[in-house]
Amino acid sequence: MEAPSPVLEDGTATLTADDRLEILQLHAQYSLYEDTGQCEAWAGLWTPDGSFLGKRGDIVAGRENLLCFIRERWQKPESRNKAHWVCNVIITPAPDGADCIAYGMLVEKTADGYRILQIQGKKDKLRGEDGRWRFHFRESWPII
Amino acid sequence: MPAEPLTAADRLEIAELFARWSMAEDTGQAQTWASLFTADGSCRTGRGELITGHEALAENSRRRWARPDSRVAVHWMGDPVIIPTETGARVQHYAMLVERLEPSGYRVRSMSERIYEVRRENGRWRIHDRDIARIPRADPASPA
Repeated sequence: MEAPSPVLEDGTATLTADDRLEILQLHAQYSLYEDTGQCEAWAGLWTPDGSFLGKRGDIVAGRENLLCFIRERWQKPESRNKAHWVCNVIITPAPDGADCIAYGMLVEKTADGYRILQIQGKKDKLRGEDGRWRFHFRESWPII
Repeated sequence: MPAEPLTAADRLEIAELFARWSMAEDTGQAQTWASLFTADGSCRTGRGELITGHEALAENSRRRWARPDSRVAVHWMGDPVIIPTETGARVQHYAMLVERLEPSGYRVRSMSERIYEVRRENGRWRIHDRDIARIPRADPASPA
């Protein structure tokens, strides 16, 4: 962070309104970049050692691997008719940054309209690095 | 008494109240959900019933969670309109209840407009009163 946030006695940093707004924007950027094939920008939303737990239990770790993952995803035609919607973002200060939970909805364009393809919870560990908030770890969980 | 201006931090905390509402109600955390209200807070349910006070709110939430249809739906909250008032703030937002279908798929079960009076209590923003109206308001069967 450019201006370090105040730190509580247990070492947990409090979050300023600016921190929270930047974290909310991080989520919006994630959807926008993923849905429009801006692969480098998407990979740039992660810390260099960032990782996520995939649907099949596999972990994709490190910005280079994340970039390969998103490029491969964007090559598939079926990835280009979907959009991610995020809501219910809850941000909590954590000793090493912030924890975040949110809802994610994947909507697919079909021949006769749109359909909701998936609804998941998202659980994130975020870190401030080089003055910006980034995803450090992300996993999904079933809400319904 | 004129309305007190709201800071960015106030607005972010108020907005997050409704994310916390979703997360608590959609995962059966009745006590957590009730604690989002002021001690004397009240909630008009979608069925028109007025529930007042933490204990009654928590009990209502437990009853709701006991219904099987509650466990296959999640709340999708829209962006809130937050207006400062003499006692705190008035908030309005749209919400969708999205339901998982068997064997697969999802559908929007209902849409509503939610109207709140929120107040600061013990240093935190809490819901003092919640009302609800179905949207769209127009009955498609009625003449324009």
